[in-house]
Amino acid sequence: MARYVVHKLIQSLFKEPGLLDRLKSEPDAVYDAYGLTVVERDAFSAASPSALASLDVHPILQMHLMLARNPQMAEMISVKAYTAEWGLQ
Amino acid sequence: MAKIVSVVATSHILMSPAGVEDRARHVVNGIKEIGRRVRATNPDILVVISSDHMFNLNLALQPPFCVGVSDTFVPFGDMDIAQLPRRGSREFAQAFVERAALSGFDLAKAEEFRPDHGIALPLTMIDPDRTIPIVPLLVNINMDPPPTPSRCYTLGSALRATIESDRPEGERVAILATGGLSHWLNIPRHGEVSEQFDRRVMNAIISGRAPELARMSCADIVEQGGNGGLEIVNWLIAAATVPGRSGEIIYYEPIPEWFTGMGGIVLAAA
Repeated sequence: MARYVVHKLIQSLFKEPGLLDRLKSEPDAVYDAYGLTVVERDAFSAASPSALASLDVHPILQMHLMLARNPQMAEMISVKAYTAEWGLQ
Repeated sequence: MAKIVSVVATSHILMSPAGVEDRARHVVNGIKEIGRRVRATNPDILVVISSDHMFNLNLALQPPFCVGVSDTFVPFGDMDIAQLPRRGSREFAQAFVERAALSGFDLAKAEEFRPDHGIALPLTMIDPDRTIPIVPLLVNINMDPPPTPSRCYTLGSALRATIESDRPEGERVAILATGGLSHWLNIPRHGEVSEQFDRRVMNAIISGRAPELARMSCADIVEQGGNGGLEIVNWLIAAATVPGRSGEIIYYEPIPEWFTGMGGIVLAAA
């Protein structure tokens, strides 16, 4: 299992206001704040299934990070199409 | 003595319908049909049993079970689900926690639970007008070890006892379990779907044979249905509230494009 600081950073992405933007604009500062190693930083930046699996990141938290870093995935796992065209509220 | 008026279960995700329009429509229509069946029983309270996808119960604090006790629940908003509030039932939730404690379960309580798609998505179709107060029960399948199927089934018996022993005469309670069916998420075999597992689960539950599934280990379920397949324990809790009750499959679609088997059942309403 990945170190807890790695998981803690991912868990904070959707909860801490501004963190996601800071991760995009100044990733090294965020990594420094959480004390990530070089290997962990590289995996975080890649945000690919193989990179995250190599750290043994929790499967659900892998999904969180990939959703945060991959707009196409976020678009796919969304109800927008259903609310717009299928009448879901 | 209150009454269990309907018990249903359904998968709880939707992904882009692009390329799978017919199957997506079958799924949506199926969940909407389940909603019609639930609403037709005029429930006063809807107990919703789901996993949380680590938006609330994450590695910071890991209770195996947690009951939402607040008066109002606002969705977390993942999957772009509208953050429209739903009423809770503090009285029912507290009664359940107390009954569970007498039955060997020390349940966590949450005042600030924000339902993620596991609860919020199916409710958009089960109760689109947001009129039925909900009592969320979270099963933490993402902790290690997760609650066992037999433990979950036994908790369902405590839920039944709450309704039959502790709630007021005339109260009508519906039970909705969500999650599953088979999916392997970010583990070896990622993206696989097992129709064999999915049909075994649904057929066992609608035939009143949920205890067979409750005898499985978590490792058995992960092997046969993936780590996401563990969500069938939510269905077992629901099934345990009406032991032996038969039912019917409302919809089923294996959708590898969504990395999951999608299914929904209704156990005979009272």
